[in-house]
Amino acid sequence: MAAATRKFNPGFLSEHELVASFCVRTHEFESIVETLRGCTGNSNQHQIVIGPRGSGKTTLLLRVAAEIGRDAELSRRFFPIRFAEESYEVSTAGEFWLECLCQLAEQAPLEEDGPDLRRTLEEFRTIKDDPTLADRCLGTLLDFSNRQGRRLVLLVENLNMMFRDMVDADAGWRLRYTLQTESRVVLLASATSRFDEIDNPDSALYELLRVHSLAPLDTDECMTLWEAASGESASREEVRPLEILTGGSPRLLAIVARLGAGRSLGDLLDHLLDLIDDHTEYFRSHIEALPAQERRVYLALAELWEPATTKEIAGQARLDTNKCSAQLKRLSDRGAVRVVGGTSRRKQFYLTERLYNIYYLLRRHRGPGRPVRALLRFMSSYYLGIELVIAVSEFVKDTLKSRTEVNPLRAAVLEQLSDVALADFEEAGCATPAEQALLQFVTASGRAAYCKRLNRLEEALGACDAMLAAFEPGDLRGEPWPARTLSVKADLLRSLGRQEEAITVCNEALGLPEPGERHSAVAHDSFDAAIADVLHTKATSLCEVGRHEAAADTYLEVESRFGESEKMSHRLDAAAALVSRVMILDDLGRNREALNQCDAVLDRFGLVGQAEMEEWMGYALHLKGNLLDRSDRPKDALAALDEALLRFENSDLSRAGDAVLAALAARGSLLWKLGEEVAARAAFSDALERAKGEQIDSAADWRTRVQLLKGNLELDCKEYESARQAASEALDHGPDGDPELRIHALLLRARSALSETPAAAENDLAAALELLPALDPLPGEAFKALADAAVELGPASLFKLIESSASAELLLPIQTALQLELGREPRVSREVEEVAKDIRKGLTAALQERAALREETHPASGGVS
Amino acid sequence: MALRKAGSNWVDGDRFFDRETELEALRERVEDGTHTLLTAQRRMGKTSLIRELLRRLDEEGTFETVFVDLEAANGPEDAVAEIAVQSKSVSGAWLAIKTAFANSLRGLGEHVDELSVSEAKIKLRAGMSPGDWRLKGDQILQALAKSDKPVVLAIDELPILVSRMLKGSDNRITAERAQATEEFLSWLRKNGQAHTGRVCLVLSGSVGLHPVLHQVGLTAQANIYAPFDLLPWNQETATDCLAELAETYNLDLSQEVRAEMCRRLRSLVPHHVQQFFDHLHEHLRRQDRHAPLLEDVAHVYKQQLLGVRGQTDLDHYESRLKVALDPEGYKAALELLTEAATNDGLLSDEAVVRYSHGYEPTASIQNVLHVLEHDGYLERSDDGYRFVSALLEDWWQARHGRYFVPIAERGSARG
Repeated sequence: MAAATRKFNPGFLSEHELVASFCVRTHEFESIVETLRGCTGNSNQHQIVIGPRGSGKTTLLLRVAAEIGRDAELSRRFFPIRFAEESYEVSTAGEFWLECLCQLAEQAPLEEDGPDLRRTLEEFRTIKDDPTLADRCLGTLLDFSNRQGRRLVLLVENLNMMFRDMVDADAGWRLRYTLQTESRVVLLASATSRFDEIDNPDSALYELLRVHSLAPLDTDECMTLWEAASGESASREEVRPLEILTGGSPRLLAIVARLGAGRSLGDLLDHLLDLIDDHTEYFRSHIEALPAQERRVYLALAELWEPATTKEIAGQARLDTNKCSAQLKRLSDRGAVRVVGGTSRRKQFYLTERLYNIYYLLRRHRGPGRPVRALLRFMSSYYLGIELVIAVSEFVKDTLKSRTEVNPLRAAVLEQLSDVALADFEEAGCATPAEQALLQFVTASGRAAYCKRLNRLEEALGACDAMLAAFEPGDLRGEPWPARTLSVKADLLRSLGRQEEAITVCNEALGLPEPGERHSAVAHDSFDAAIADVLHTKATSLCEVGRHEAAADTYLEVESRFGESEKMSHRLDAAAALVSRVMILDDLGRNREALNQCDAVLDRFGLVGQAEMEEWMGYALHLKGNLLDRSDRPKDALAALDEALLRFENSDLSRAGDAVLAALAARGSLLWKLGEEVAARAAFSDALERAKGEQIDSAADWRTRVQLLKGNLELDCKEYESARQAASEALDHGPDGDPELRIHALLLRARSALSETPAAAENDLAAALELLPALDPLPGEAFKALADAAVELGPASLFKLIESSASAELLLPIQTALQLELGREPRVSREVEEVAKDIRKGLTAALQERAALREETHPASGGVS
Repeated sequence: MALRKAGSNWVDGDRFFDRETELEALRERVEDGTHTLLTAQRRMGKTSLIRELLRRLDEEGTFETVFVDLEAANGPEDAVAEIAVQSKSVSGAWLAIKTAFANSLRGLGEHVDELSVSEAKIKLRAGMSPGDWRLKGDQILQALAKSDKPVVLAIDELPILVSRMLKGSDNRITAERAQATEEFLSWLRKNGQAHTGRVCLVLSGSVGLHPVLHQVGLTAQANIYAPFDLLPWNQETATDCLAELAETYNLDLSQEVRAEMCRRLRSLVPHHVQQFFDHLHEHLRRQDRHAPLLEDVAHVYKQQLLGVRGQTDLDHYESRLKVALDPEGYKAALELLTEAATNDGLLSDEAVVRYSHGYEPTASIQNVLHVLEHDGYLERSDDGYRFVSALLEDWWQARHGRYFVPIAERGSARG
């Protein structure tokens, strides 16, 4: 279970929660505690933790305070006094010690023989002379220390802000004097940035404090925190984009982890804006806390996104440069803004809280094409690696969907018949309420079905409501028609994008009384079928609003209701629900659970043998193959796919044809992965033959996909001509209007031609780059092709090619990596720079490898020819 | 008890490492009644040395000890008040001091002795005016001299107070300020001489007192103090210290690694040795390792000691030149040091000659070199002057070397 994480203030955590959730900054914690243990002599080592907002200062200080309470030796020797996070009232040395006494009065245990600290405090508040105030307060604190036999550890937050607001210029020196000469006082402070009092050799605190700088979390630490905050583990590749977006800030990462709980990371990135929109409190409070002028400068810098000079920020904020500079200094002191690069005269600034910057830009510019959206899209594709899709889950979803739809033509006929019948019965005056309901239901559901087919969804919804309004709630107790109507209504609402309402209607249906003993078996079956449909609709709606866990639970409910049913249709519903659950677990990245679920559904229904059930088992095995493949178990995956193909042998191919072709194509890919190129080629050829023979709509699409897979295999085997042919075949005979397949074909042909006919390769690449913005996510093959092109054509040529294409904005990180490789210093946002650094790692290695290969092939001549 | 990291505050007792020879030498001086001027660079450990000396003397009970830190003092009144209040522990003297300050302590009655040190200082400071600090000061020193046991009066950071008095907040030496400074030093000198054998003065400061006084021709005021230079550790002491620290913190610090750390620093300033160890320890802690390699030493030296944090730690080497030199001399010092830093640590005699032609009068360059040598930046070698500390040399080059053009490459423009 995820450790407790409470809002944004760790001060709200109980000591137990704080200790349990403390999983990063552990080295700094150990170092601080170790130094504290060393405070045994006549002088103490004072310490300060420096880091921007959200870097974990408060948590770290509180964790140290907790340790003092938990560790017997520390507890015997030290008494912690925690200052408030913002000690606004401290502006002199006297007020510093007064605040300290104030906190002690609140935090100290009651002493039988000691003075009443609260009364003492009230008395001291009236002292006007500051040195006297300081001395009285300090004296009282030291008396307390003596009585307790413990040194006082002052945990002072935001010391830099406190010094900034001090009106007493001598306060620092007075504090220094006490800290140097008084062994009963130990300071453990925090600051949002370095400040003059500790950095300037002429200032009082210079060299007095041991500094612990809190660097942004690295990828490993982000993984640790992600797991602790969300309760789910994540790979480096999954966490790296979040590390970049949050700037390695523990607080922001914890917020994103909470927002993303139950979602796959790809989904999280895709819906970042919506998620943040729902949790704006933190970001709003952040900006609202700034004074007006500072806010103006802050937002101007947010708008610029890239590191910017004072002059540029002043221009954006429409402020005088000097005024802007002063505000930047204040923002810098707060730790809200940091200095990066530039020169001492032309410093460049950027916002410390990177996620806020992203949030601001996403909110402000909702239209497509903005750089930040492009970056999110790029990161989602680059880090989560989307390859040419041969996933079965889409086909399973389509199948599930078709199962719940009523044939609209048949429904129209029924409606006409029922209208006639209803009129006859009314005329004869002999219909029971149940019979009337049946006829009305047939009318309503028929109308709903064909209205839906004609995309007149509101009209269909009206028919359902009319049916439900025609009867009093008690009239149809136990009859299946209300449940069936609600099922249709929920499905319509879902289709209209009103998922929350759909879920409510589903719950309404699930609350209806079941048919009783007096009802016929047909009524029971009809009711159960309606409930099965309702549960499917509910689960799908829950998925669509991001409530994946609830959706997975709903599928389990289908299984528990109908898994043991004697009716095959109900057992099929249960099997379909469990297969759907596999897909949800897979989407959530919970591969192990998904695999277990696959095995469970196969154990449960694998021996049933009925044709349609075999089809579902085929889906389950196909999904299992995909999961095993991604778990680096290609041999097991191959075995699962082979069994899936056996199960599909007697399937209705008008429904399962796609899944069969997908399995055949995936089989070829697995054999390729296992290094069995000959068998892989044969498998792809087999798939191509089957695709030619199948009478399904998507046959042409499948032929192209398999051609492309085969072409990539040829490319991998350095059979460039065969690869080019496969790509050309796909381009010439592939389905029109499918940019995804066209891009894949262009990229394949470009990669095949790079070494021999670079001009032709450039043309194909240019064509692919024009189409690329239409794809989301970007295919992994695009990154591979561009990496190959960087090596073969050179970084400069590729840079020009991308720069002049429609993909320039989308591929900014690649452009940046190329510029860095060329020794240039592009000015881009920190996020783009970080992604570019990752890209460049691979790029540099590939370029070096290429250079070594060239050297091997054409060694530089050692002498004069 | 195991040796622990020293941090940035002064240390004594178990946390004080070595310096036995120096402690013995100082003890002899104290016993002989010799007034001493202890000079050392910042971070050499002079405050800790004096604190440890006083701690040992206290333990033995043959002397009364008073430690006064003038780092925050702005004038003679502050200094006298500080001496008075720190003398509180000398029981016989404190009675006389209270009498001397009867006016300002009036009304406190029996509560006088319950006042905290800082509270008492405020009262005493308030009871003094520019006209009577000498008298009050004389009374305090007399009271100390009459104590049952001889008194060691250690005054830390005296040169900082002297510099402040000379230059004020606008960094300008005026005749009035020079006169006020002379009066204060003269008073201290007179009392030192008057109470020889009863009150032994041990003065110290990170800025050399002589160079500061040299600027205004007041060096005679310091001639009663026998200089005592606190030097960096030798290699044996430094490696022993590193070995003890390694044992305390469970690190496997090989002889080779310790030697490499010392080689990189060259001048083994105790604080730098400790800092190096601390950074290395933290670096290993992050990687859950206990045995550093030479690469770790190189990494920590470059990334930490010469990194952003390290740069701040060494800032004072630059800023304190402002204290010791006038603005023109300060500018020349920056040039000379950068010249050396960008030339493998050597300021050649030829370069010195060239600089001497560029600055008038020629003597100013010699004065600057005197200060740089005196304060431990440079030392004389066969072919010129060299940086004493490799750390400072590397730091200086990183900070100032990037756009610097050595004087020999500047063409004829300057000379």
